[in-house]
Amino acid sequence: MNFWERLGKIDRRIIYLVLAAVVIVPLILTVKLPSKVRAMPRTKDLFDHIEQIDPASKRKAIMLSVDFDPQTVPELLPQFEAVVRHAFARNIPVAVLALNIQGTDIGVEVLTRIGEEHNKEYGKDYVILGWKPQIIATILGMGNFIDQVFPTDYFGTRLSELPMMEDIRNYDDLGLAMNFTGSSLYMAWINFAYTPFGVPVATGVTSVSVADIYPYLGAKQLVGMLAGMKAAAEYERLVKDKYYQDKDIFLRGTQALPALSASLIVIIIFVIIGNISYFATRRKK
Amino acid sequence: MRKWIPPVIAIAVCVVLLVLAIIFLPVSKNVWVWIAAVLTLAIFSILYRDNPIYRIAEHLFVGLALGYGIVVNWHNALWPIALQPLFVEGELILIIPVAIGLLFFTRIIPKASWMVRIPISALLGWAAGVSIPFSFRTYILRQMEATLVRPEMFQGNAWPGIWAIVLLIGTLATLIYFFFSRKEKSPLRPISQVGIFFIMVGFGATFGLTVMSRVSLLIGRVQFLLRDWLGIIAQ
Repeated sequence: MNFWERLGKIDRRIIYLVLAAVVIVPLILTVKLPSKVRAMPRTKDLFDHIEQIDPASKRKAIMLSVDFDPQTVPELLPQFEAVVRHAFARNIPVAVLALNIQGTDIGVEVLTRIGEEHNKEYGKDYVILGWKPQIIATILGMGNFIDQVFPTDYFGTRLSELPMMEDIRNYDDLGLAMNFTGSSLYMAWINFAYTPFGVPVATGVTSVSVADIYPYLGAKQLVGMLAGMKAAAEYERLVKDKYYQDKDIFLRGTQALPALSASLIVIIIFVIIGNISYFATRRKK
Repeated sequence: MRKWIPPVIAIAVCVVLLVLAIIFLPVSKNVWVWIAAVLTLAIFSILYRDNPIYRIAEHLFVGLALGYGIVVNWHNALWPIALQPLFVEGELILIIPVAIGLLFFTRIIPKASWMVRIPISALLGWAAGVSIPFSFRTYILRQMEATLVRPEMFQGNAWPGIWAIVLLIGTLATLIYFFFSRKEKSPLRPISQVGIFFIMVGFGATFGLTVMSRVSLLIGRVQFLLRDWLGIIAQ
């Protein structure tokens, strides 16, 4: 067995160990990337869209749907937090719901924590609608009347008793409906919120879904997209640079970015080595 | 070497490292963080080989997710939407949808299992009726419109127009590959070869993004272990 053959049969556990080291070391050493992270156009489009929402206009609120569960938290939680921070920094009312059963508690935890950071008042600045079954009926129903689908909020208070919801009755009062999902739930929002009601829709997804979403961005059915942990870090930087320059806030995605870059470089090197090994051994045979 | 020796050594090393961490690091004092950390490590143990610790964590996860789903469903759907209005508020009309829903359970009675077709038909009929008109607009008309190359795309900056042409070629070539590719020599064969090229580019992009996604999930858990559990990295 020559060098290339041996390299091709390397134990997968050694690769795992190398990858673990490459992930852990940049996190511990707090490696810092250049402070100016260049945002992808789709990330910038979303940022610009939220920048254009006027909290004094009719379409003043944004609706965020936490359609993910703990399995995809590493990619989607930083995106969700960054968008919530952006909305709170601009005093945009935020309504949060979940179409994934495990998303409700994630939404409650994030809104409560970031709401406290910004001195936001529940019911006046943000509302948590909770979870409802049957995705199609929920999304379509809110196009007519939100309080028919959610008569009460997550805590059991009637929506009519919440000041924020007084003039937010349906999608006509929203500047943006955005969902965060590790599945193809963004398609339901395009099909049953954007197509029939024309509400601007955006999505935050895991990297694995990104290639499937470009046709909808090309057709302008989505105003923007956050693609995985990388886009989360980009959005965090955009928000921090504009609104939190002097404030020390924890940027989950930005902290992970050096480890992500390092591990992807290592994987590319492994792919190249694997291919060289494959062709070298094939020629011998 | 006996099979049990490596796992025992690994567990011993972990215990020693853990004791050192507790002594020298600002580890979390939250019992739930500890449970989450131990379960994370238990799931990671599959990377070495299949083992009982991994299987316990896996079964626990499935059971917890199912139990949580049932409880949330009861409090957010079954009770407030169906049972409370029917039995407490006396909305008798709800007997019809509740009865149709209950027919799903006939599947477990072999002689009555044919009745499961009734709720399935109702559900499929409703979903198809609601979806088809919107889907036609979302997935066909708007997507076709997006492949059009329009003269204004070339005004000023020519790149949008050039990318629109690439998109049009890719769409047509891929469709031709799927619908008109034949084994024998056909005049459309060269175009379907171009279609294969575009499909391969798509597969490559998807594979790269999948790798990025999986690595991101790993980083997320490592961040949790180093920050929330061991307190090594900053909040």
